[in-house]
Amino acid sequence: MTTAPSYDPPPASTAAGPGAEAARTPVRLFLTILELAALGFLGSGVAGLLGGAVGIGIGLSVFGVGLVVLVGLVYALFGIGWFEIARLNGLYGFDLPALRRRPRERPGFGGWLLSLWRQAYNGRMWRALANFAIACALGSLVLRLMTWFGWSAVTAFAPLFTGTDMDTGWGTRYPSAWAPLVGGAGAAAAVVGIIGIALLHRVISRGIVATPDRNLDLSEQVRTTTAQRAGAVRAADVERTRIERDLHDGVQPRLVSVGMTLGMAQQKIDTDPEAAKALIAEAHTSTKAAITELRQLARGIHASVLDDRGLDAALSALAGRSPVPVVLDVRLDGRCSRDAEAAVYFAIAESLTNAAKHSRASECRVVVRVRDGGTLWARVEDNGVGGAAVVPGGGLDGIGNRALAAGGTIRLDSPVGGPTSLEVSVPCAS
Amino acid sequence: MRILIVEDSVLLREGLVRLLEDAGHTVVAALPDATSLDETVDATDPELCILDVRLPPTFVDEGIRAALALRRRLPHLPLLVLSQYVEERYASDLIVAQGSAGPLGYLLKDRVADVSEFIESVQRIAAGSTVLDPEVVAQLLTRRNQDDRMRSLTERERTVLAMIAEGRSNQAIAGTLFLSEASVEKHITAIFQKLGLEPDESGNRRVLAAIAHLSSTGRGGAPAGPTQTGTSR
Repeated sequence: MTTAPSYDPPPASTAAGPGAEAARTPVRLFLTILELAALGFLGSGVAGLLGGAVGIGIGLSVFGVGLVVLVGLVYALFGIGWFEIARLNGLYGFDLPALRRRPRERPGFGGWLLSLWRQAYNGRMWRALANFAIACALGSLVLRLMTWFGWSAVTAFAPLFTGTDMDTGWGTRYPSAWAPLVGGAGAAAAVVGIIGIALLHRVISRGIVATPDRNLDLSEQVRTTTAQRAGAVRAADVERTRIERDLHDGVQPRLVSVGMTLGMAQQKIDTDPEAAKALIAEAHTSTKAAITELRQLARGIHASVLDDRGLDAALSALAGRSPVPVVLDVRLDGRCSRDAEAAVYFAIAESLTNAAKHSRASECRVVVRVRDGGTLWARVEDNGVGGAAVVPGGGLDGIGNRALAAGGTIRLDSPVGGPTSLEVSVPCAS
Repeated sequence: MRILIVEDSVLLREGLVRLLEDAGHTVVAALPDATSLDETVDATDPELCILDVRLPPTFVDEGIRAALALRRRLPHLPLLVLSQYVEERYASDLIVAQGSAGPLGYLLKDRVADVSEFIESVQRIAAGSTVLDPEVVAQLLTRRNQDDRMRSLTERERTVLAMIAEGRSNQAIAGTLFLSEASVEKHITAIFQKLGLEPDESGNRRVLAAIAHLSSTGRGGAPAGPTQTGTSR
């Protein structure tokens, strides 16, 4: 553990770092007090409205109107929860994900009701609401302490304008000479109380809202994994279709024609040896073309040098074969995961193919780097005519799906008139 | 000529044997993998060794590794590596490892189909030349194109350089480019000067070593200092 930091890590992983906290504490404390006071002022009203809405909603639910009120209530609660999380993020820099509406899982009215029902069950929303209620309660306490502070301050200066004994407020009296002492102590107690509440609010908020939500993390993971899997499946599907087409349209007819040519040569070899010779030469040429086609098809499916020597080495053949001159600018130390390298290799291969087929470019430039945070990043630019777009099942779609399957993203920039640039970023250790 | 073959595909192995014996050579051994290569080489004393890159058990680069091991042990044994795909990195490994000791060939398997050219390549390698596939030469040159020394070459000099790297004679280059042999020689002198090489008879391998060397001194805006190929024999 030689690399362990010297300070204790913050209790919640989502909280801001200790350094930032220290710098902004006085301002934040002041803001907290202001916000609490505002909430204390508004809170009871909001609570009253919501309570009323619940009462009316349930009471009138038999008439249907109540249901509308209850639906409105769910939206109102969501709104308050959203506000609360936004408020805490702004105040404490918790960096919590904003409260999101449940995506509708089924179409139609039923789907909407279902998502509403699920929304009403959302644990995060209720935790935010609980925190909101507590903040309101703390806020009203803060308001009281502020009033107390005001009275204490007035009391402290009482000897200036009154000579009579003072009333403690609990039926006993004391001489006005003690008033500055009593007032000062009261004001100090109020200030300490207010600051204490503000600090308490932070602790409570962190405990209630900012604790990492395991369920949320897991469901987020599930979403990502599902998207990745879908990308992988689509990519494989597109790839299979393309291989089938390449074999069917390219190699197979070539071999059929070789067979025909050789058959004709066989017929003619006795009667017309010269023609037979020419046919055999034709078959020979055609066979070599088929071999080349097959080789390029096979290497497009899997470049074994990629596993063996890495991305940098594998790009040589792509650049060497490209009809458009390619400038390679690759700076990589070490290797990335197989998936990451394969996804980026595929993106570059496909982009170069596209550039050669459609862009009318006279030069391509390929830049590959490992960027901060361990992202394998590549950009392919050409100086062509642009206007490339993602078509489902097309080459660019394939690039996107492959990148998605490896947990990455692509960005295409191809205005009509050019130039085209495609960036792909994939986690190095996906 | 006594030739040893290491090729895992039966079809290709038998085809190669037939083709080479047809051309008047003797195939002293035809192995399916490289496990017993050392003993077989010692026992049969071939004049040329033909190796496939992808061999059992992993089918990745066994052939390259076997070739490198053979080169270390017998630096002057001519080697011809055949590959389904040609990769600049494998070629660089072989060229760098050999320095300028033994003759070397690195060709696409497809080239076997052009029988007479293939036989000619085999004979040139056995005679001491280095023959690289045009595809791998293209890759090598593409990867070195950002080097300042390479940029200083003219288009024509680049073409000549590529043909030298493929192992063609000055006469062949002159014939292909419709030049006189004298002007080919002039181009070669210019190339050697620009790449920082001393011109001598064995231009082919020295050029290859220089190209491989450019890669080891960094890609992208590589330093423009003098080459230290250290390949003079």
